[in-house]
Amino acid sequence: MSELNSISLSELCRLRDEGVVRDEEILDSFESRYRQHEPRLHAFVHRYRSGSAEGGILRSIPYATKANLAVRGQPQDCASRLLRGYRAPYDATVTRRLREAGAVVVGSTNMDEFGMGSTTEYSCYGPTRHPLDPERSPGGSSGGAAAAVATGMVAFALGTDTGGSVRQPAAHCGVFGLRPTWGRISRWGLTAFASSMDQVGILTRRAEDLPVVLGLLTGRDAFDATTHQVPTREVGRGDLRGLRVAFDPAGLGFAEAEVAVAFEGFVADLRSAGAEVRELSLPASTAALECYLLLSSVEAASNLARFDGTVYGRRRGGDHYEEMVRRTRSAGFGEEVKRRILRGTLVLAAGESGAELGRARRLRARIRREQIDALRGHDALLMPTTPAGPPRIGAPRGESKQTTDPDRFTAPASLAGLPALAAPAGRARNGLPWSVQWVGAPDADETLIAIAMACEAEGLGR
Amino acid sequence: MNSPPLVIGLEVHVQLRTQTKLFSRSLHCYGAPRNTLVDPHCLGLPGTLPILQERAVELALRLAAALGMEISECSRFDRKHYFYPDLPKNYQITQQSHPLARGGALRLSVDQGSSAVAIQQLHLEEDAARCLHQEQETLLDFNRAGAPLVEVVTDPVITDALQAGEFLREMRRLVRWIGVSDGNMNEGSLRCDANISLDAEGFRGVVVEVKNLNSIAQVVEALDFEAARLRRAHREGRCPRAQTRFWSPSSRSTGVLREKESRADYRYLPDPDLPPLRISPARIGRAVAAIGELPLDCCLRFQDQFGISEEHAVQLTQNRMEAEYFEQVARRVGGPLAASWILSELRYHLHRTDCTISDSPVSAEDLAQLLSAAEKVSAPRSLIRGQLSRIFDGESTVAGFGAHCRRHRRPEEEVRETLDRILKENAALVVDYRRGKHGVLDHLMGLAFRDLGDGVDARQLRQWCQEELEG
Repeated sequence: MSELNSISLSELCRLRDEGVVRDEEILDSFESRYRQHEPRLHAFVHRYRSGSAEGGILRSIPYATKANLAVRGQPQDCASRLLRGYRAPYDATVTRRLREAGAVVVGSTNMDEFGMGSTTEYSCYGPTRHPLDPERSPGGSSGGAAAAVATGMVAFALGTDTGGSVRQPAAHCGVFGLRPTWGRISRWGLTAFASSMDQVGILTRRAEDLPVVLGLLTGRDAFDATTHQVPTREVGRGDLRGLRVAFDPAGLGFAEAEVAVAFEGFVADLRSAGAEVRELSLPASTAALECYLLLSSVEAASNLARFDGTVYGRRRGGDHYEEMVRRTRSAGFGEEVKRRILRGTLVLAAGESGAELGRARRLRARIRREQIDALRGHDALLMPTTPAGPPRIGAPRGESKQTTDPDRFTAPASLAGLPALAAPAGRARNGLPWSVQWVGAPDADETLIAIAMACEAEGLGR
Repeated sequence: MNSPPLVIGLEVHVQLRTQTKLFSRSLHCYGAPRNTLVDPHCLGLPGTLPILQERAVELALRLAAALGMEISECSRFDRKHYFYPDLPKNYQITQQSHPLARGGALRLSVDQGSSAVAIQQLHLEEDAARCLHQEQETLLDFNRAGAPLVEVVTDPVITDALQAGEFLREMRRLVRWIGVSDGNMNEGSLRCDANISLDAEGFRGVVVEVKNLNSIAQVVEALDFEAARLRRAHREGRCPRAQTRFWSPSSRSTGVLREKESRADYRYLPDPDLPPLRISPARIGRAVAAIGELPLDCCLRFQDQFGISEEHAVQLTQNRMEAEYFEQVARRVGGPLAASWILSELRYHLHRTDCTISDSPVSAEDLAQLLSAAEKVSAPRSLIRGQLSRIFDGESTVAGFGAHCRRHRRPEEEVRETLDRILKENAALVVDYRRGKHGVLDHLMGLAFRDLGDGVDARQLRQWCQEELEG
């Protein structure tokens, strides 16, 4: 029954409902893939089973969650030393909704600590390996989720995306990664990194699986004041003929040559399939990366302030409160998290008058306006998901890698709160996947999925 | 050299009388067992988000309307950061840049409403947990964490400690009157931090903040203490320092808590988890309508309409239920009579039986009936007092009080004999009276009542007594 790991969600549910496969067989089939791949990949950091006795459309369908999402009674340590041993006493809204649909969460996947990173190397549990090349990273921060989905260990996975943490590993692992419109999925139970950009995302092997999960998760939630309701829409396969697509060629300058060439090939394929692909200039969005790093660090400094060891988390003792907090945070946080907290604190301490913060906020507003304006005349914006292929584990990181920063192409949609979908677009010369990113107007998530389904059907990027 | 004027501003925290906390559905109330009113949000657990509870907004709007403030149609929430064990997220959600309301004033009862303290702003914010400091450790009680507060900030226009006390008394009366808070300083549902500086060269803008003020008396005392301290520094030519100080009730003095933070130290950040709070004009209208007559207006009206003293009117308008009770009784038996009975006898029995005016065994209707029945038969106060006590203890009712009075009436000759005897025994007082000290009449009446007990018509007795004295 190994094909259970490659068929679509709806096909899987049909086989189950028709009695062709038993519920236990479904779980076993994915479990055996887990046993086969996990020792090599290290995709999971906590393994457990948590579902509901009640049935639902996803009854007995196993999925993976991310270590920063709350599952009642299970660890929610965000791959941080500081939170090791902490267990969530409540369900995230996404967990609850999937539980109500009958899905079974089989574990929490690896990630960069608190979502800050793009390789999983900043996990306190060590990195996850790329399914096709153990020397490389699957990307991050939702790297464990992407690797688990790519190898069929689960039917789908939840990730979280602040600056590209769902799309970027999805791209590296050759799976679909949807970052929905900000506010469409509740963040209740998602450990905050940068609240105004954090979003739960979905990783699947097939585009047609996305609307199944999205439909269950989306909608207003009484526990998240920033959610909004969108009428449910049927997602049919879109038509590439007449599709209006735009891209900014200037952005390609930030991509590695091979990526740029592959992207141009993809555009040519789209055109021959009947799509209308236009070039336009998005100058503000091109400058999004620095703006993203600054604003997300500011919010991170605020959101991570609560981790002081007082009520929960690994407390390091001290003679007084200040010493306890200093020692707890010094020992508990990893280097990258500390870097971002310090940067955010410094920017925030400069105050509203601080030119840096004001400039970044104004730029963010311009980026959003610019993208939404561009989307008035187009169905979607297109760009590569990542400027380069999967990085090698242990490669030097940080300031020196600015030009091909993994968030380069994903940050604009994050800042603008727009839906964005990473879709596999074929293989590079080294045999590793590469991916395109579709960005849509607010709440046009379904449009993006329909486009991806059409591309899949037409064999684009195979 | 004259001592320079004081500049005082108050920051008053009013805990709103809601069932739930400000940003979660967890309950809050004073006196619950420690750490029993908690939920994931008020403990700051990972992944939790604030959800603004509308009832708190409603009460905050009511207070803003009662202070005549301009309510913002769009206010925002900010995070105020500082590390402290009572702050589970290490930031407090407050409204810094766009508060719920600005402007307005609180009229004080002194000077018949001509004096008022200007209000700068009013905003919503969440309360912190309680720190219980032990000898070796600090325990935390999160029941209060996240409770809804409004902070009312005055302009720095208060000129002395007494006026600050006046302001707080009036604020307490107002929040109770319009039902937004219990207003109990000893339970922390009304709290006050005071900012004080001297209007003198080198002292302007150097503000000392005094915290830990748990009663109005403490506020007054602490401000007097600080005023003296600052003036001494001024006399001696020393430079003042901006500090946060605490009041120690045991030593009756203030001590340094910390050197004052500057504004940027709180690293304010608009809270990305909370959308702007939009208030429709219709909602503002509803808030205004919910206030009704304000206590100060009611106080003045009682004096005008019912002819009672200012002192009584102030006492009777401390809370709305009592004012309404008074008004009901006063309409039947007149203001002075109603006031004197409510403020002395009724309050005494309510206190004795641990009742409040709203669950009083003697309703306003009862008291009005009792007093008008007593008036008809000119029953002496002691008789009414006894009846009231019996009603409170469930031994009697209002009905039939008139007959009860008549039954106890003493014959005229007995009363006149007693009166004669008392006047003889107090010849000196009679002389006083005849020399114009008419005040002794009450004393003589008192002596007669002591001997005669309940069964005498007070008006009749007074008349006979006057006849004897003047005849």
